[in-house]
Amino acid sequence: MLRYIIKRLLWMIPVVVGVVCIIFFLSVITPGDPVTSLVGADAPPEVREAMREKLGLNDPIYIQFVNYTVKIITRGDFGNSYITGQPVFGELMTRFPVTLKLTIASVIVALILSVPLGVVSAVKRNSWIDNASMALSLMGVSIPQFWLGLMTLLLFAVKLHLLPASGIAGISGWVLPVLMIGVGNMGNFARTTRASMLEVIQQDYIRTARAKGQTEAAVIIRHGLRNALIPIVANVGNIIGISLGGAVIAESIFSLSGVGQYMLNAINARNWPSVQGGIIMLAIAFSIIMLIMDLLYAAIDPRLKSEFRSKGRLFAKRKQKVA
Amino acid sequence: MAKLYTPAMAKIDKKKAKLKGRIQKTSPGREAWKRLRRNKLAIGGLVILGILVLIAIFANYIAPEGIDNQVLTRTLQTPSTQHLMGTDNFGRDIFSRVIYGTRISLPVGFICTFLAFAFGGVLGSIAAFYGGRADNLIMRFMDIFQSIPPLLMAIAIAASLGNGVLNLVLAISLSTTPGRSRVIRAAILTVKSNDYIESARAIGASSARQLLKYMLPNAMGPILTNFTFGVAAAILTVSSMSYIGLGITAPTPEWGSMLSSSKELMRVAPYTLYFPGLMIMITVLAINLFGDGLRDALDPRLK
Amino acid sequence: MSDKVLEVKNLIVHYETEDGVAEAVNDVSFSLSAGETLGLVGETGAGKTTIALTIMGLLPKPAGQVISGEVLLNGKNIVESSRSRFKQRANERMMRKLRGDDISMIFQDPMSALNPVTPVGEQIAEVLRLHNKISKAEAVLRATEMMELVGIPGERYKNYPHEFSGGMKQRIVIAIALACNPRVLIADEPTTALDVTIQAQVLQLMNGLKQKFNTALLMITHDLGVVADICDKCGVIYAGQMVELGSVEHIFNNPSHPYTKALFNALPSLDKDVERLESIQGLMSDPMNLPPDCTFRERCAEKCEKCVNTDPPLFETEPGHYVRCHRIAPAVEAEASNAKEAAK
Repeated sequence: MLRYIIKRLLWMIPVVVGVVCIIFFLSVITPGDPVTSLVGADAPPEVREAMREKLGLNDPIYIQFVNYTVKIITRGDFGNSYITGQPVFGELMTRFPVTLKLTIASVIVALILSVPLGVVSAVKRNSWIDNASMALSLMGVSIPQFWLGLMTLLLFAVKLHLLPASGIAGISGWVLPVLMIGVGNMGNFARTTRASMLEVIQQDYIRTARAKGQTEAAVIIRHGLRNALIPIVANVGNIIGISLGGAVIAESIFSLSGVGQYMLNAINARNWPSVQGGIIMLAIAFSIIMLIMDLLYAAIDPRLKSEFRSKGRLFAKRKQKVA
Repeated sequence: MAKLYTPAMAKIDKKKAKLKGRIQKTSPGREAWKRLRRNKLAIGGLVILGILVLIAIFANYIAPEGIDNQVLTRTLQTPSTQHLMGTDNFGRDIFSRVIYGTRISLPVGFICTFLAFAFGGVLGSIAAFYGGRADNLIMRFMDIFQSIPPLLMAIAIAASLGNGVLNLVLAISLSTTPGRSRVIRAAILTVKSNDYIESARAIGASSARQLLKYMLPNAMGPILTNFTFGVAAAILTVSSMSYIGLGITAPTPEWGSMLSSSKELMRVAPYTLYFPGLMIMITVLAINLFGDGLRDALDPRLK
Repeated sequence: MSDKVLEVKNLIVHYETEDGVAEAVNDVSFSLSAGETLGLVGETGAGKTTIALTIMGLLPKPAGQVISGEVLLNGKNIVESSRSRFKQRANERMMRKLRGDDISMIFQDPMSALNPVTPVGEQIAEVLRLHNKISKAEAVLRATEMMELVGIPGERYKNYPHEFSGGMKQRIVIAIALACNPRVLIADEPTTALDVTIQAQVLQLMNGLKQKFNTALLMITHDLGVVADICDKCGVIYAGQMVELGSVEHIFNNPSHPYTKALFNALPSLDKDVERLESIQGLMSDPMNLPPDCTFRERCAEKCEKCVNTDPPLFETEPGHYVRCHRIAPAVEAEASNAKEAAK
């Protein structure tokens, strides 16, 4: 297990370099000259040239890449914002907690509400409660998040004045953004839980547990859910990724000053260092979350644990994702 | 003593009597279709989808006006018999724009998914088929690519490429490619372990033949289901991207971009926000319903 | 009669699905005394497992339904043929206390019968704690003892199922089944999924433990060799019916039903030198669509016109030997009239 953790940690290095590489490549193909953004289109050629030199744009492309990567990895230096002139890293760090909290909250709330629903749906298959919760879940995964955000904003903030339309002054400011991202997550989790529970309760070991005289509740929770959790945990990582995307949009709808809003503003202003920095930072955060999820996954599935012990394999074959 | 006639049997007999006389041929595809047909929700989804496709085809007959018919004397009118969904701040008939929106969301969503499956299909099949080092290399690369959450990846690509339908399609299909390659790889790996692949190899089928003739058709079930859900997700992504201004921009009547330009009107004309969003939801819901039915029909174990 | 721990009387079980009703068990009766072993033989789909699941009260719901009949455990009926949900629930509550305690079952496939995320020892301790008022420590102790008893070192208590071989897993399943010293043990093809070399070991283990605990054993198998090895009585099941029932001697020395005879003909023999084994022509009738005839008629080598449209009852050809065949009837009736005359 320790070997797995170390290997999994070492894997973070190529991931970070790879992410930086992808984003750097995208910045290379971006049309437009960053110099123009900085000094203006009508600046004299000497000024432009000085700026090019200062940004290292005259170096060969691979030198630029190495410099860019080294700066990011060693100093967290994403460059300076074209707009404020401040280091992007500092600007991101003040906003990052908002995005992270929003994402994690929406996932946790969804898990707490939807896993029990999925379990009940699977156990009482085709009952009214199954039909109702599956209908709601389907709506949850089908509704456009941003529209749900707009509609709840319209209803609770504009019409009913129950909740604030923007900002996160108190706990009430979190309700709508978390709801906006959480509804889709809930649908997703409820559907995954139901599917994996249905698969699990048909297994022989469930029959064995019943044959022991175990109560139905214990059969479902202790034997069923514990096994069904394995694919659910595998899915949590994906959902966190989706929620990070949702957080970007939620921040723009509810005017929360998170990384997402910062990035979208930067895109509109063609402020590339901020855009790149934001994406790299979220990607690294996401990779760390995935790392934690992988370790958690390995911890709850004893089959995987011993696989690592015996072969020390870096990548376990993840169970096929439940659609 | 053996032949007891219970009420449950009587019910079945009645049902069978109804079906009597119909010749029942069976094949896996036919069986799946039979199961699908019995699924009312899936058929409902298919019907709605059919209607939406018809609306898209005949949009110019259904819509009373063009997509950019700005009449400044009738801005922000609430829904009425004349303008079923009202008019926007440029005095355009929202109903017409919503109708024309089907011409964008459906094909764009489909093409994005198709491209993602084409790219992912090539990578995933190579990885699954050859295994070993090729598999390792491709999948590790996909791992890195997937470290950026799909929507953020799409935002990054679209931001660098700039607005426009083509760039949006490229952004969405590229950002979802790793996920699709995984699906196809997993499906082929499952099939690959079956004995009939071994026997295909034993009779000397070439690699391409094994892959195209034996593996892909048998792996089609989960791929097809995933494709359907993929189209639904792509339609959502297209509208989200347009909403944040990174996709299809005004005056094209894409539903997401319509919402984007209407959000400022929330306090004065909230009705401008209702219908485009509702249409996205109906479209996605229909596709998901159909996808659910397809999954249950192709994999009857979990019904 | 009082020594009979398990009695199955005229059991009829159906599976009611959307596509039809499968008549899985049609009028099956047998009984078991303490320490006795009854082998149930029959081909796949004959209804053997359904009988076992019915006794355990583990019929898949809602499809499985007991239509009529009784299963008496120590003289007390334990199946509920009523469809009333209330009665079904009450029965389920009662069964929960009996399962694992008075009646246990060993399932066919040991590979999937154990919970993959729980250490095996805990799975044994679970059943002990369910039916005995003992502390956790005591349950661990007794579970370890059970593991030793089935030949698995107690220090492997904390290991997970995937760390054991198929044969060892089946030993653990046996330990779970016998942990509470049940009166009746049902073994559903316990050796089918195992390697031939392991089969004999597991059978011996079961037989030894059964004798030690004086448990009645219902052995479901399609292997006549297993029956000959460890059973006292044998029942032959065909299309959900008991076609022949008797002591192992009755069945092996004097197989009377055409199906039983055909089964024996399909076995390789040491003393006869045959080129090909005989097979039974045709397939078993579809339980969704049983003919009104004798269910074996289509495949029977000795069918007569009487077999059409009438299903034969069970005839007792000699004390304790029952056969369900019209061909037997004249002989039995003749014997009966002889006996009557002799009585006169």
